[in-house]
Amino acid sequence: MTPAERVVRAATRAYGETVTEVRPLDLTAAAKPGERHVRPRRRRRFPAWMAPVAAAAAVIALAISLVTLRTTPSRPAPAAGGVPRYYAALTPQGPQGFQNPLVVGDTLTGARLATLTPARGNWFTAVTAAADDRTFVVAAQPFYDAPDKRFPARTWYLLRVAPGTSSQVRLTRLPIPDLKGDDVLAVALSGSGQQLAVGFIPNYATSPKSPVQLRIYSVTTGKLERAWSTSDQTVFGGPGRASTGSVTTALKWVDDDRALAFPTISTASNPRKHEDVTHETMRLLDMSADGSDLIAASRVIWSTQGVLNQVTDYAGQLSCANTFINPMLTADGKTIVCAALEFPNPPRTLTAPGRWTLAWLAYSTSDPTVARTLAQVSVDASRGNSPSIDLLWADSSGGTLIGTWSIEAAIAVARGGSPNPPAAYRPHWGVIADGKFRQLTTVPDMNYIVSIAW
Amino acid sequence: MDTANTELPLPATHVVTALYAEHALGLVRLAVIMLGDQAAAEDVVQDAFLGLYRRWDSLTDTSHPLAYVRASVMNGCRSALRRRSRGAAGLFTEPPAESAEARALVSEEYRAVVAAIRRLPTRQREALLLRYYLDMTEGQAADAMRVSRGTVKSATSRALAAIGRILKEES
Repeated sequence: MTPAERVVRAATRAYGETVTEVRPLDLTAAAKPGERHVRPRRRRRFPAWMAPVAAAAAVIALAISLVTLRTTPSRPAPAAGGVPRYYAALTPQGPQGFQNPLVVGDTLTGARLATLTPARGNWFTAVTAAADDRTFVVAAQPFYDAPDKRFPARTWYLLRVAPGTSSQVRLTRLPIPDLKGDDVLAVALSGSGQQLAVGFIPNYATSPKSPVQLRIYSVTTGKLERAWSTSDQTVFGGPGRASTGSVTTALKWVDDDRALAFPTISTASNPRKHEDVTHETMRLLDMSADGSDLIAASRVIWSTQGVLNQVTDYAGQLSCANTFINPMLTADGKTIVCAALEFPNPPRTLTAPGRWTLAWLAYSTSDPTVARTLAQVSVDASRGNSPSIDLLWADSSGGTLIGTWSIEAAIAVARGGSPNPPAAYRPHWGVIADGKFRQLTTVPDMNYIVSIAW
Repeated sequence: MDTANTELPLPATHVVTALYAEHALGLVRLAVIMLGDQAAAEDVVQDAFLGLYRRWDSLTDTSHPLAYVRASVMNGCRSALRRRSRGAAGLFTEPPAESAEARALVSEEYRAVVAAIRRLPTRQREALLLRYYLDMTEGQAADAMRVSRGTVKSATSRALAAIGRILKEES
C-alpha cells in the first residue's frame, strides 16, 4: 500500500468513526410480501404509484402574517350525513411528492375550497381539527435545515374555513414555540379550538430515548399551560410507529376538553413460536389532576391484546391490536372505537387467496371487555397483498365513523409491477354507521392522502 | 391452526433485522463519507434494508444479502448525489456542512482528505471507499460497483492522483 493509499484509508476510517449510533430499522415502513403492512411509514418517501397526481385545482400562495387571535370557534356546525362538512388533508405532491400540500375540501359536495402549498423547502407534517368543523391547526417544517437535524424547526398555523366569504380559507401563523429538533408523535386541537396538545420526543435526532413529553399550549398566546413527561415510549403509538397519518389520531380531547385520551401500543416478539404479541391500552388524563408524570397522572380505561404469527400472518381472533392502528376515545368519553383484523385460515403460499375479516369495533367504557361490531368487511386476498384497515374520525358518541380499507399492492410494487395501482388495490373510504360501510366518494385524491382531519 | 410444528424458513424479518444490527453502522459510515450528511446517509441505508425486506421473497439468491444491501447503499448514494447536483426539491441544494463530531474528532489533515474525496466524481469516490475504507479487493469492488476490474483499477488510480492535486492546490 502506497503512502497515499494509507492516508486515504486512515482519513476515511477516522471520519467514519465519528458516527457511533444509527437509528433502529423500522420494518413497519415496508410492505413486505408475506407480512402485513402494519402502519404507514413516516411519509418521507413514496412508492412510485403514490407519486403526485395532476392537480387541476388552483394553488393559493401562502400569505403568512403574525396576528393576534381573538375569535374562537363557534359551536359545532351542521354535519353532512353525520360527518363534518369540511376537511383538511395533506397530499404528497410537488417534486418527489415531498411537499404535502394542504387540501381543504367539502365532504358533502366534493368541492375543493383551496390547495395551500408550503413555503419553498418546507412540507406540511400534521393537521388537526377543532369540533366546529371550521378550525384546524397545521404544522410545517423544512425538509432539513442543517446536517444532523432530522427534525428541524416547526411552524404552527391556524387554518380557518369561512365558506361563502371572499376569503374562504385563511392561514395564520401561531405564536406556539418551534419545538426545534423534536419528533412530534401526536397533535390534538381541543374541541373549542383554544388549546393545542402536542406529544413529542425532545431532541430526537441526538437522544431518541429521551422521555416523551406532552404539552398544552394556548392557541391564542402560544403560552405553555401544562406539561407532562414519561419514559414510557409506548405512548401515542411509540416513536417507531408514528406516521404522518397517525399523528392526527394518537391524542384526543374528550369530556368538553376536560381530559385527554391517548393510546399505548407495545409489541413483544416470541421467536420460538414466531409470534408477535401486541398490547394496546387507552389512557385517560384528567386536566385537573396534579403531577407531571404522564403515566401516574393518567389511568387505563381499556386494553386489548392481539397475537400474530410472523411467518403465516395467522391472526386467530378479531382484535384491534392486530392492526397497530390508534384506537380512539369518543369526545363524550363513553366509547372506544378501533379498527380490527382477523385472519384465521392463512393459505400455505404467499400468492394463494385467503379470507380476511376487517372490522370497526366499539367498546363501552362502562363495560370495556365487550366488543360491538360497528361494520365488517370480508376480503379475499393473498398474504403477499394483504389488506389493511384504518380509522380516521369518530363522532362524539361513536355512532358514526370514517375509515378506510385497502389491499396492499406489495408484491406488484416489489417486483416492479405497474406504477399505478390497479383498481383492486385502491383504498376504499367510507362512512361507518348503522352497521354498514358506505363508500365515501367526495374526498378527491383519496389514493394519495397521508393525513386528514375533520 | 398449529404453526409451530412445521419446519419453516427463517423469516425475512429475522434475517434483515440481524443483518441490520451487524452492518448498519458500517454502512452508514460508508454513506456518510460519500454524502457528508448523517441524516441522508441513514435514509439511504434504511431504504436499502427496507428494499431487501420487501424483495426477499422474489430474490433468486438470498445467500449473500450483505452484498445486495451494500450495492443498494451505493446506488442510493449515487441517487442522492444526483439529486443534490440537481438541487431537487430543496433537499440537497447545498453540500452539507461537516458535523460537529467530525470537526472535534478528526484532524485537520484527515478532514482535508475527506473533503477532497467528496470532490471526486461519484465512480472514483466509490472505488476509493470500497478499496481502502472497506478493504475490498479489486474484484470485490468491481462486483459491488457492477463494473469491470479494469474500471475499478483506473478509477482508483485517477482518484488518488486527483486527491493529490486537490490537496496540493489547497495547501
